[in-house]
Amino acid sequence: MRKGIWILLIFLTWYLAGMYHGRALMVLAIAECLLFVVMWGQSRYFRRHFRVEFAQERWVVRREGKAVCTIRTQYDGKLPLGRYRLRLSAEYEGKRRMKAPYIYGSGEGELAIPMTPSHLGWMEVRVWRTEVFDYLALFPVRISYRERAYVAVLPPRRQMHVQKILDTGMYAGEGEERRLILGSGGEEIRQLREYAAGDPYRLIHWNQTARTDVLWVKEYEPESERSVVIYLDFFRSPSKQDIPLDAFWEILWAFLEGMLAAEIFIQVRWTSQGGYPAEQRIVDLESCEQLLLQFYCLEKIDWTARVRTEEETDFRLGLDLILYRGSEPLVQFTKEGYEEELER
Amino acid sequence: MRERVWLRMERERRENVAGMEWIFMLTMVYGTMFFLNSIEGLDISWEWIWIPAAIPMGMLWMGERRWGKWGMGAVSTLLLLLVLGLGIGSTELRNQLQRIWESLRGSGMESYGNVNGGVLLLLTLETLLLGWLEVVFRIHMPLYILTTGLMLASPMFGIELREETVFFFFVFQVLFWGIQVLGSVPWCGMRENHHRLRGSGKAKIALLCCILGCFLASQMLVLLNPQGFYQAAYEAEGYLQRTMKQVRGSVRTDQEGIISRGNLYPADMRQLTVSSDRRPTERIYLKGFSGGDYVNGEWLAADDEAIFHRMEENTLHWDRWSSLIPGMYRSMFFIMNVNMRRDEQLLSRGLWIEPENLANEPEYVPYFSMQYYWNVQDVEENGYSYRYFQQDEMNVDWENIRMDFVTGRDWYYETEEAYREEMMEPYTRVPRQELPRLTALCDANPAHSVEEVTALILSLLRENVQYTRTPGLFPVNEDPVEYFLFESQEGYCQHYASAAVLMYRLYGIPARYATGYVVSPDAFSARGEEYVAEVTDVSAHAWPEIYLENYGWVPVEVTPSSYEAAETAYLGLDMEALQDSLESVQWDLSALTQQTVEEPEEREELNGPRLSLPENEEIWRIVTYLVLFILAYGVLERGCRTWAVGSMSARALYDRWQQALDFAVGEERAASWEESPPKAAKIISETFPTIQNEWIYGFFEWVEREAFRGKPLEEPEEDQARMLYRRCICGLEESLPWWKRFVFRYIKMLG
Repeated sequence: MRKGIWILLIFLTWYLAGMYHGRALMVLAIAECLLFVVMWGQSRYFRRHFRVEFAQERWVVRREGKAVCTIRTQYDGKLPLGRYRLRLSAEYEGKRRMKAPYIYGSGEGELAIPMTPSHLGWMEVRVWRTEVFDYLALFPVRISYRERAYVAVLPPRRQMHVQKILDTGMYAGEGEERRLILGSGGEEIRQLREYAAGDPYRLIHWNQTARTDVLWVKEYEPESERSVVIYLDFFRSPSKQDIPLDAFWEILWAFLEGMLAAEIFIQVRWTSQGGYPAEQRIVDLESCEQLLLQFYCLEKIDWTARVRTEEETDFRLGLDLILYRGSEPLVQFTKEGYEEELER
Repeated sequence: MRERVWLRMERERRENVAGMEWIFMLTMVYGTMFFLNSIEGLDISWEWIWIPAAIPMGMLWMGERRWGKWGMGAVSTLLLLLVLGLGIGSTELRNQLQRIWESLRGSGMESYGNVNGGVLLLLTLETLLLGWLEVVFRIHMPLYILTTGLMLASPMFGIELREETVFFFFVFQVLFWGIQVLGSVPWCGMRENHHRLRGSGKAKIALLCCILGCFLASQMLVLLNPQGFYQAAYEAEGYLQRTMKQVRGSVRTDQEGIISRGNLYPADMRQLTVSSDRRPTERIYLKGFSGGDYVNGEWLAADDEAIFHRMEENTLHWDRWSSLIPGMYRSMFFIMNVNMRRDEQLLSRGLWIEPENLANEPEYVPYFSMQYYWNVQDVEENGYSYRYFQQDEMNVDWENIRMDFVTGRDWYYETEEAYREEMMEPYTRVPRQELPRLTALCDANPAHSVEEVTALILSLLRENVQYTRTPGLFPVNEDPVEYFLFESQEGYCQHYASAAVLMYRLYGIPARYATGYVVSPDAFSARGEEYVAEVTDVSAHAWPEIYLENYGWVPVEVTPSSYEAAETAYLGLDMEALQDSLESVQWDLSALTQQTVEEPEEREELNGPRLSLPENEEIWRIVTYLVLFILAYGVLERGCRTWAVGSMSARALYDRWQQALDFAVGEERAASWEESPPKAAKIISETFPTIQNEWIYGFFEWVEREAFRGKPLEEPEEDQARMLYRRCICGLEESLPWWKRFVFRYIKMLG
């Protein structure tokens, strides 16, 4: 539209200049014409020298409040950059792509684009469209990028009220083998034993190993801690199509954070993809995050195809959103109302 | 609920208007000043008012800078009251404004006198409008349209635009368009605002350079070859018009009497087929329209019927025979010529005219003719016929008539006398008020005979006016004949004929404006027993016809393209007397050369591109404006920045100091000096001996104190910081080589 009006104006000015022998108007017509060409060239020049990239390839946000997606604009041309316009899109696996409003900017720098992720899991963010403009915005030129980044969306910080569960005396799982665990630094070493396959390298007693030429690992005194074991039952799903993963992760997080707040460590067990038992010890929020990120990576897997393991643990949480204590259902969460139910 | 990931960014915040923008708003003010100066008759001494014209803008700038929008509002109110007060209180200023208004309306006065005061008032009002639209409301398009309209409409109203006007308006239009585009980017989300700001400012300066570069290049191109660009416009228009005519299949406009204010582009489309029983030996004028009254540049159709009516009423009183009058009048001189007593019988010539579109074309009638009916249906349906005499065959003598035609002669004589009496008034009528210059020219050249008047007209049109079919467009507010004779001095048959008719009438000789076709004898080719000519619109013509006793209406050829093409005889005129008047009489034609608006070279026939060297004066004028502009900008921007230091916080001063240091030693080296204040101060004072260690260290301490305190320093503390900053900057500047100091002070504006 603007281009059309400009061209029309050039022709009109040129025509009137010719008809009235107006030198001043002729100068104007030619100047407008030259400027038109210059602007065309300018937008092409900007396209060659302008780049957009994400500040990070992967980052973690929580599904609460505002998060920020940081875009870095770079420009290596000599001519000062005019205006650019870009649009991002976000997409969850198997869900609709959501486009951001257009963002206008000029010059180099970092753009912090506010976002509020609606689902948990990995979200793919793309530079959907980038356009650079000449100084008069006559020639928008689109630039194609394949830039993408991944955002891990974690559940919001929330604690389940676990006091009632604790009051029932259901804590501190039996089994001596669980009490004698490989510990971390800062605790007293109970004994040294020979290295066995699977022992973490950080527990190797390097001094003793050097002296004896045999790999020795440190065994610590069991912590005077309370701990529980929870089994994540991915078999218990209400349907194959509508798996309430968001609710499941939020309930799990609230459970873990609630336990940690009560100074209880958690042993999380589940059955891995090949049917093998797997477990992870949760001692702080960081390990909680690690656990969820680990599960997010498995998101493409068909959860309902997993082998069910009838293992007796302190707690059991299934995709049907029922939290069991032992084999008795403790709380039945619903997909729609789990947030309120967690508060209770 | 609709899922949403992205949040809308906060609404765009407007940045404060930079000093550069205020300065460049003056381009609109100066453009208007030069525009008014280019109106004929307005006496404006721009050399004296260009500085006062900038004062209101300066006041608005200061108001906005110091107190924001409120300050601007207060200054605007003050200025508005001042303008209103002066406008109402001073009669002289009111008169000046009135004179400016009249000049814009083109009331025809030759001089409106000095109007400097009125112009200043108008420019002040314009400044207020500009300030509010561009700065407060950020609206540019209305002003863009206004300036474009002014520039494009000026030539249509006969105002010759100056290049200064176009230059200033162009800079204003495009620069502020760019500023609107570059300024409308969101701030929020941008982590490095200062970086963005600097980038945007650079882009604006780059845009300004583009504008200036394009304008200068265009100036050079036009100076080198102006005719080439004009010619291109004519060729394009011609191509378009010809194509439209060919698509439409007709060249008729149904506006025969309107004198064209534009160019003529014949499409070479066949209009008539003319057949003659004998090969013609002179040009045949086929008249389709006769113009009577001249009103607002247009010829109204001659109303002979009214004349016939008056003839019957006042003189003839033929009662039931009065219906014969028109027919007798039309064939009068043909019949008379037929019935002359001669030794050898003179045979009339037959002419059959076949128009391409009989229904829509007027009937084209040869002079000294009588319509002839074949009574053959095919012939009647496709055309019409006339018997006629060529001009060289006309010899009417009322006394030398055949004896058997004496009674008829008396009737014809009576009719001719009555016609001559009644047509004198309508065909010598001229709207003298509308043609003051032409009237004055005729008054200055008394002529007593038709030959003398014809000689004057021929002299005037041959020697002072150039024939061209592309004279360009005529202003809408000027009479086409006066513009043709006194200003453009270029035109074609319509303008020549109109001027001649009006001049004949001013001398009391009955004359009419006639249009139709002129068919040259060469156009006829033998086809069987006939001679046939295909007449195209190239042969369309306009000519004056005058009424001569014994001949009636006689065409007079005054257009060079026609009389130069063939030997021209003026029937009924004493050729010796005419030749004598042409050669011996000295006419006073000085009025033609007094008000010529265009340079002679611009009026030359458009024969294609022509190279000419740019005039030094033009280049120097542009260079002078540029230098003046850059200087004015430099001085004001520098003053503004120096003034701004007086209100800067310590952090802002530190930013400026970093910029200065980046410039002085390079960004990399300056970055390597980012140490703790004592260390950095030591390095700087060692590198630049003109900066004392305690100054720079003291300055850094104030900056650090403000940074840690998280709020601005107290006023005395800030003064202290500013004083130390100034000392450091002066010291830094002193240590630079002269060229770098110049850039530091006047280009980077850091000093």
